[in-house]
Amino acid sequence: MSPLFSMSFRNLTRNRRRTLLALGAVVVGLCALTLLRGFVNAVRQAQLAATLYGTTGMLQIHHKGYVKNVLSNPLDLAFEDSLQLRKTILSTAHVLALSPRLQFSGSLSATEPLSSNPQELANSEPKTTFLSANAVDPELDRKVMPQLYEWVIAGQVFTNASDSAFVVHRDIAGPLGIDDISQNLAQPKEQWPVLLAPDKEGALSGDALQISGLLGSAVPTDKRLALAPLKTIQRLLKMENQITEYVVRLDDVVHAEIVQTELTSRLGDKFEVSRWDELAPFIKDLLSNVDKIFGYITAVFLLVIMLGIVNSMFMNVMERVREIGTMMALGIRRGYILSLFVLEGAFLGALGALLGLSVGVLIVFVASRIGIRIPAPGSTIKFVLHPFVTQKFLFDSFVFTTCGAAFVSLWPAFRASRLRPVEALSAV
Amino acid sequence: MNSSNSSLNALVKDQSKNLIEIHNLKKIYQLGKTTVEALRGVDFSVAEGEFTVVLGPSGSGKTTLLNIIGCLDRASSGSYLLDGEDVSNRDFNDLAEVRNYKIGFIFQNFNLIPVLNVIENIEFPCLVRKEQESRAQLRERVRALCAEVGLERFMKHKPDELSGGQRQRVAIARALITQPRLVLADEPTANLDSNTSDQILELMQRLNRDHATTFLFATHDPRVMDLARRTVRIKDGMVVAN
Ligand SMILES: Nc1ncnc2c1ncn2[C@@H]1O[C@H](COP(=O)(O)OP(=O)(O)O)[C@@H](O)[C@H]1O
Ligand SMILES: [Mg+2]
Repeated sequence: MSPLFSMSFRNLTRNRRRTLLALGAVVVGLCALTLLRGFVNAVRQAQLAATLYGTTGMLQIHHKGYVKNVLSNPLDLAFEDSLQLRKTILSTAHVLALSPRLQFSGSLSATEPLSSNPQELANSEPKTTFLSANAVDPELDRKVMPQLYEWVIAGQVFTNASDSAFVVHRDIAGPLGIDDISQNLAQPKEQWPVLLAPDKEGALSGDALQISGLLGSAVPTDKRLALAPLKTIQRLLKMENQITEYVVRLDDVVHAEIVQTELTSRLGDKFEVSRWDELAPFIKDLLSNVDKIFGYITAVFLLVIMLGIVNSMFMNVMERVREIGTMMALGIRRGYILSLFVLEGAFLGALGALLGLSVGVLIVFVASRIGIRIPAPGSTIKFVLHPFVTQKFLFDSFVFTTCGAAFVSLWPAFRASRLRPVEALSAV
Repeated sequence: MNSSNSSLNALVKDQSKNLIEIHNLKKIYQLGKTTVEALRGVDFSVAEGEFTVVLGPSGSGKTTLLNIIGCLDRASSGSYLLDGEDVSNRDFNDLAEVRNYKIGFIFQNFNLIPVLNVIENIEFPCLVRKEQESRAQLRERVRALCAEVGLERFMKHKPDELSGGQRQRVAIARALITQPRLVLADEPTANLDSNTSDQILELMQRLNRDHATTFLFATHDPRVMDLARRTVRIKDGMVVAN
């Protein structure tokens, strides 16, 4: 066996300061990369969870043409919520739960003036506001959209689909002067805000509803979002048993596509099944953009790390010119010298990667246990992030750093192997 | 101990028997616009098994000559046959093989590999060969050679734990482990005190006898002359006495 390996490794211990500096750059770089990846993963996961469990759900089933026409008048494309339909959906493989919803728009008016002071009143926001609300059965909806219910920041959601209560976004409730839940609950019915909504024919129906809870959100969402009890709204709009969609939760979102296909064929022409990424394409784009940006950052990091290694290896070669000359005199072939320095670079990269990734994983682990609280842009409540990294990331980073270090060491190694023996021997 | 006699013997013998055969060798260095003629037509031969001292003042061209003989450098003109072979047109790796199998080097500043211990330094030239003997066999030879040069007690030491004389002994063992035809020693005693110098010189002469290995020894120290069987005097790039 040739002494190549042990020599390359021992050479790292020669100029300790320089090795430590080069190693330090790799360690810090990879540690930072791991932390960044952990953080990005957490943001990504939180964003995805917010979408899958709080905004669109994994799958939605509508009357055919609904998604295209959603801006016109959704009620036209309502359909009957039948036991038969529910059975068909729930008996499909990978489906865990469903929630019937009736999406409608309407306006909410507060009956009391905001202030008795005329000047304040003149400057105040209008006391009527438009809403885009989901009428839901809270018991079923909670199972499909658990995240949504975590965004209730004050009060609580009505417990029964026939309640006369309502949950609106805090940013809507504020200007209407109905953001004090305890005060709302204490008010007599005559003072409750009034919901006015047009039915299928366009005729307005109204009912007084109590604001029982306020929504915030951890992600930028539509502030006009509101939750209403399904049965109450069906009655108000004279649409008994009618809904506009089923939101479906699967055992795992990776099955969205197969379940979509299966349900499409099972439910027939009357219905359309949409995946979350079709309903919220911007979220999908956002996530893939995050990955892209992380890719660029990674590339820059690795480039800097590799520059550090090349520099260190060049100094290494320059310091050992006479030794290279000696080895040449002893009859070493060029390839051997090349291997010697390439291996040395690879060791440097591997060692640095091992240390950097270890420290990074440790910090990510601790951060994940504690949880990082960060206000997300455009959101009203704080995210709690739980950073994590995958084994694949660690493996790839290790392999890439090691191979990259070996690869960039080819340059100084090549220069070393091309030295002329006499000149190398006479170097100081 | 008759140097002129042995060189005469070498000459009358068949020329092809000579290990080193040099004719009208020139080496010109180009330094910008000026040229330095380091060797100006050297004629010189060394027979197998000889112990030859190349004596000359500093700057006379000894190192230049030894580098060419050692296949580390090429002459500008003239001919050089090593063991009857012209090596002037070989590529790097071929020359590396020639050096590895036929030539051992001993340097003024020892040039040991600092990260390797004594055993590892000595066996290094054998370990970079394409074809290798068994590890056990090699270790055995290294041990025997260590005993021969008086390093038994230092086999696990790193070079920086050794004295100058000990380091040069390691270098000598390293030069001999490949069982070369020729050992080139360029001022091997210049960095040693006179006492150690004498010991090293004595050691090299003993090895020359015991191993029948040809030694070519360059020095500027006239004292060495007394110990050598044959001396070649060189001055200003020319052989002035043989
Ligand atoms: N690489 C070189 N470039 C230019 N001149 C050189 C070089 N090497 C040696 N010389 C010159 O060649 C002459 C012989 O040098 P050298 O062979 O080292 O002599 P010695 O070993 O006897 O001291 C000297 O004048 C020296 O300056
Ligand atoms: Mg010299």
